[in-house]
Amino acid sequence: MGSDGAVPLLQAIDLSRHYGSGPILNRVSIGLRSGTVTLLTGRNGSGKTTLVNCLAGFDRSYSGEVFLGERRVDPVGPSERARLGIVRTFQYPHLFDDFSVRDHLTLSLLASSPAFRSYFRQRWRSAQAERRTTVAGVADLYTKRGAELSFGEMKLVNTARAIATGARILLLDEPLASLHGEKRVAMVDTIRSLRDAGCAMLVIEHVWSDLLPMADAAYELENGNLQELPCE
Amino acid sequence: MLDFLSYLTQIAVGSALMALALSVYVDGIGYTVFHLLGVSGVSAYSYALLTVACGWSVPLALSIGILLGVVCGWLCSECVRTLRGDGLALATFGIGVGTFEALRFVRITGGVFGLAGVPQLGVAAPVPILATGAVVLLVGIGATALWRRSLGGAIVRCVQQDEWGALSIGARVEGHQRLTGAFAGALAGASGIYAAAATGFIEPRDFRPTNLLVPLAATILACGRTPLGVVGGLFAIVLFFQAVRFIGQDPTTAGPVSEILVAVVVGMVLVLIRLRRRPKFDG
Repeated sequence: MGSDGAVPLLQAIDLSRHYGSGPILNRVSIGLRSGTVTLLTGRNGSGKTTLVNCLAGFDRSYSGEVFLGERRVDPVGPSERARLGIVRTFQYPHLFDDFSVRDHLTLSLLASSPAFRSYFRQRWRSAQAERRTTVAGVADLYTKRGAELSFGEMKLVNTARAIATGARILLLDEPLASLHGEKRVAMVDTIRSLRDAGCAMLVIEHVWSDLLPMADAAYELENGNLQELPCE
Repeated sequence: MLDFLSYLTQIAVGSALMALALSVYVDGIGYTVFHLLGVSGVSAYSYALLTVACGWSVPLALSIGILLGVVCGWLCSECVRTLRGDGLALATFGIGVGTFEALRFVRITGGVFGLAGVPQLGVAAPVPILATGAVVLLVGIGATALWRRSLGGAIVRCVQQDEWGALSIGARVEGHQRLTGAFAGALAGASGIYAAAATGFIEPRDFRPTNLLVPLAATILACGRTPLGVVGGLFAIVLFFQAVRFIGQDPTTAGPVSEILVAVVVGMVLVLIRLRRRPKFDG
């Protein structure tokens, strides 16, 4: 499934965010369409992660509007936005130390269930979370706990966990950082297959030569302003 | 021997339920709270008043008492939504102290003299006391074990380990924290009711915030392990208290000495846990 070219699945209009006196985001507008990959780069501290935080609802001290389809999602927090299908990963993976990788994937599948029903649900570990996850190399880590993973493995699991939620929109914060060789190729393949499956993705990367061939749009954040770059 | 065991049951089972309530909070939400003795006091006094003053049946008063524990635990869990660390400790300590003072000065509770004639669970004889204590304890351990194994228990532990990670997968953080507070409140309420019903007497000083020392020590020593670990740790501390009384002979010094020893050991364990904790950002 390719780009549908219609209304963006996720759209930010005139997002502004200030830290102290200076703007980190200055009336930034961006749209993510279904089945597309949008690349975002910029020097350290340029506001890339802040933009992801605003889109995912982790930072709500911004002005401007964020729409999911035609629904405005500014009033809702990160948890509800994730349940609506806007899921982000982190530059430093926020994993759960005492839970196995398989538990991470299963919890991603089930965490959105109503809290009251969850309290009585036993044998949740038997849910088939891995069916939703296509990140190569993660299956080898199923029995490892979050605290036992290397940084590269944590990055893989971080992305696999986001995919396991069944997200329609993925905001990936440096998914290729610390990945080399086969793992890097596997992650690029995963992003491609997610795009083909109709997922809208915003990918933050400093080195994006692997991702450029599949990118539909590319932007650079500089001094709070978003500038479109050629996808070549 | 049977008398000693029934005495031990009377003093330890209520504390064990309180330790389980604390462990649910510490293990599930990740913060130490000090309001649970106040919650247990509300449940215990409601049980005592409904049976003694209003003449209600024991099962009905028991249900209302535990329900009040659930409601109080739920309401107090609202603190966790906005407060962390020192602020949370101070707020929950304030709730606990406030409840204790209210129990002391409200006329209906009998003031500092307390209430006598609280209906006992079972017959006041060694074997029934032991059996009732064992059943209450098993129910508490079983409920806590089921909570730990449940999806809700797992999600709330995820929240404790990494709140942003849990939010990013759509976990209903506030709902889970409220339910955890309500469950801990139910255990705390059961603890208070058991303490009142085991002895047939209730007084405000049963719910002094300092009475949290032993359950807190058992929770910390168990380091978030299984409910059996928490209860085992609590019984070990209670037996230690009794041993100090036997060895020290003078009960006026043996009590404080054993409490000081327990507090020192718990303090050392906390320092060791802090020293051994792996830095989060070590790559």
